[in-house]
Amino acid sequence: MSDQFLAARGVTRSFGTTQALRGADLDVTAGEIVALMGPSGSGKSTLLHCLAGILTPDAGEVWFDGTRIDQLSDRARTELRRQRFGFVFQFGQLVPELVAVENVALPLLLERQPRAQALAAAAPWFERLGLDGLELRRPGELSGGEAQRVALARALVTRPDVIFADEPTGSLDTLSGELGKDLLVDAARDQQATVLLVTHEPRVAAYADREVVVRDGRVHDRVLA
Amino acid sequence: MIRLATRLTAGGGRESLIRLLLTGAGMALAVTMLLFAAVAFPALHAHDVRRAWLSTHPAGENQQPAQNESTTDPLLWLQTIDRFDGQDIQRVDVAALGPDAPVPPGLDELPGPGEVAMSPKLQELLDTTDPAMLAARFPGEITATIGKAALASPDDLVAIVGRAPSELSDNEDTLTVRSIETAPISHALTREMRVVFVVGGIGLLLPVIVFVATATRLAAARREQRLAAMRLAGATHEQVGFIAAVEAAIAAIGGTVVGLGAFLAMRPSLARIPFDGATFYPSDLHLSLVWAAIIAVGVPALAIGAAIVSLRRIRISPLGLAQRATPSRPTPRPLLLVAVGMLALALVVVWAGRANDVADTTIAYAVGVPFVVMIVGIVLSGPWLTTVVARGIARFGRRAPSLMAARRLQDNPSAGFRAISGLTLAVFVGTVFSGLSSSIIANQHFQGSGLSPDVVAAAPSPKFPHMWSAAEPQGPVKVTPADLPQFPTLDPARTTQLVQDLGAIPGVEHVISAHAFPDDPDLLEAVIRSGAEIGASVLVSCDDAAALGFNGCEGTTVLNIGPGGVEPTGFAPSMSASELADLRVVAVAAVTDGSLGTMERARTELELGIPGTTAMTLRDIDSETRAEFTTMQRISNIGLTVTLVIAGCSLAVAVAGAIVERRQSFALLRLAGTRISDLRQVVLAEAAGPLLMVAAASVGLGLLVAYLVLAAGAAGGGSPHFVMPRFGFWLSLVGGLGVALLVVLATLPLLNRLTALDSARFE
Repeated sequence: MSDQFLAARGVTRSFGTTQALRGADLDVTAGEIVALMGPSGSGKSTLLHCLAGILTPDAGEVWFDGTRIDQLSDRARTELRRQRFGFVFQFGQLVPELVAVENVALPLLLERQPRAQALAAAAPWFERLGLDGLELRRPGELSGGEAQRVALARALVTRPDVIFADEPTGSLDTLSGELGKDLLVDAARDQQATVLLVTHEPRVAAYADREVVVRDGRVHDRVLA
Repeated sequence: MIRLATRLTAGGGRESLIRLLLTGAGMALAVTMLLFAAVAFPALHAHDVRRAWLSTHPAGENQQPAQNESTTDPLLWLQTIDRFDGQDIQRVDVAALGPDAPVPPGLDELPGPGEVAMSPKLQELLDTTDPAMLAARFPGEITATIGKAALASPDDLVAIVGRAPSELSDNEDTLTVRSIETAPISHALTREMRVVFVVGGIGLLLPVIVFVATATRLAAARREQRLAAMRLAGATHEQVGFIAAVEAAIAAIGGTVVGLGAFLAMRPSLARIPFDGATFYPSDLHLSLVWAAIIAVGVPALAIGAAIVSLRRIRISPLGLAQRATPSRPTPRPLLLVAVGMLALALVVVWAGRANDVADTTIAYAVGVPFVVMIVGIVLSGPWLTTVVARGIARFGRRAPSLMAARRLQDNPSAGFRAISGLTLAVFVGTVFSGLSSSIIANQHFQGSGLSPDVVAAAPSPKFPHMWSAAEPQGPVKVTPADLPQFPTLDPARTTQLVQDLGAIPGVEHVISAHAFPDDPDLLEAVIRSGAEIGASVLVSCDDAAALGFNGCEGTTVLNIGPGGVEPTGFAPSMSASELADLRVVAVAAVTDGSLGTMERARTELELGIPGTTAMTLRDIDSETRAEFTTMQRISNIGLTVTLVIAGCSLAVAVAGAIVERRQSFALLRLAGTRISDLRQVVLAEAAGPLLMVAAASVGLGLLVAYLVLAAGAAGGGSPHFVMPRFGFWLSLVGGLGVALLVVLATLPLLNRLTALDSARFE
């Protein structure tokens, strides 16, 4: 058993003949913001997916809050992701047919909350993330930065314990990217959420408390100055 | 370019192959259905052609005589329909009056006196049945087997019995013929039913077309990426279109060949289905070269056209951006087309009811055009209806899946409706078809009498001496016994013997003699004053009436014998047994225990005792009507079920396409913790919500159209009144929709597989 809030122990994972992780170890404490860095194909996204219970490792252990999640059933991991994790990705995470406020409220609706209550809980995030007046826009009517902030609001609306972000600003211009990162970090600190952030940009990693490098499927700690 | 397109289609790995196979299977199903639809009318016509000889008329009256009547000798011809265990036996007693008498088809020569020619199926029945039940009805030796040329179906029971001229000449129903009729007369399809079949044909065709188009578009979402990459590599828009067309053509041509093979393989089995009440010879389901060519060219052409049209709607840029044209907001205006079509159809029906000399084909076209206008109106107004349904789901659906489904439908109602358009049309056309056919049937349906079903009765046909006409003076008319239909006199000695023989059959519980009305105007007047309706009337004692199942006798019972059965209509003043016995016997009936052996033995005795008559049971009369009813309902329900299943396949393909299109979006939702059951509900709500609501609207509209058509027809003086479709229709409707939803459920494993977290890519 791991004492850490979120931990990977000797995790290996292959896709066909390609070995993405070769015994990766990582410990994350509660409320910590950790940046996963590394070149393309190093295995950082695979590690994030294993830690989030999206993928099950071929070998090794994944622990979250005292529970070994790699041995949980698919249903239990789904519930865990829905109730305690939030996700932000680079593209395509908003449902195109739903308006912005419905997209933000979606995790609450999926938790069977009444619609009015879910929409009411989603509404304050628009002011907080600078999205005032965009509540009824569809994703196709939002700019890339706005859509990413809506996605961030959706990830935060359930007040998750951990936010997994995979290149969340990779598709944005510098200004929008900076704004997005500011909001992500601020909101996470505000909610005392743990953040695991995959990026290959050093200036993004600078927002984190700790930076680790994934190379050839293994994790190498790098302590920030 | 063709080689490249072929390699891209066939060499795209397992997923590409599965897509190709699915599309090809869809085409094959569509082609098989179309081929069966194409041979249906010729097959029914083949029945009519081979049955034509049973419509032979007296000399000089045949429409298309098989022989030159000036060169033939006369032939005495007595045609009756006998029955055995609910099956019809076509029986013709013949007696040649010269060596050159005409010979019916299926025979080389006429059977002489004491000889009988039989169909193979009747011979088979005789071989397996107690002779007293059936064989005794055919005096003589079986000397010939009737060939296929005279048999509509291989299951037909037909006998041609050779007689001496003296045996037939006294019978008033005997005709003197000099030629055999060859003009086909439709027994299976009345003029009304032909019109109804036009409606049914359109109903079958449309879902097939929708299915072909949907199956072709299945791959569209996946194809976009590949074609976009080709555009980036320098392919022109035309080249990309050509590749898409080749891909569609490969699946369509393959599917057409498989569909043709399936048709040929299934033809013998399909021939065993008695669509019009009789089975077919496999060769009846003959596919003409013209139809084969139309289907072989038309289906691939339709598929290629659908592929090109779907490509035009999605402009593929070299950057791989699928830029969809913004769908225009649907309006309810196309409903006007439905109203116009309905009005035009009503006018056509009024016109057709008044114009008796118009050809069937003209009526078919005249009905078909407004019907097509209505269908176009439904197709065009479908997206608006889908929007209405989506609004309802969004408003009243409390959970996330219903909200997502509603928003998706609102976002692109045309796509939402396209998925269910086949089912909608099938339900609409099926409802119109059933509304019309059930009304036609209900108005023809035997009303039934109180006669016990276990009674077998025989009476020669009465003669009608007086036909009332509108030209006669109005007001009270004095009716005399001579005005009543007159039953022929039976041989008293033979009748007495018959009554004794019937009574000796084990299982016969009571033998009844029915007597002719006496030539007594006072008695007749008393009967009329008592309120009885007088027709082909006979008198029976109270005991006999009770044995027949008619109770409450006051005096002597008056029975009317008609084609629909036997009904008590009133009572005559009481007569003593001897008074009644003095009246001549005109009909005899046996009350049996209801067993097949007893009833058929009694029937045999009755037919031998009263030559030239057919003994009938209430079951025969009812089953005769029910046979037509069953045939029409069977055709209607088979048609509805088949179209619903095809349309269900179409819906399933559309649902599968929608899942493929949104695999990334759904996978990300699953990743974020969305239950797979919630995603299933999204898919089901998108399909089932509009399907059930629009189907309900289609049923309502279909019933309204059928009602208006019949109301207009009644105004024109022809059609029966509207009757709601019977239970079988509702069962087929609910069953068909249920199967369609089950087919949709079958696509859900695809959702699990395509959005599986292990195989999806998130970034």
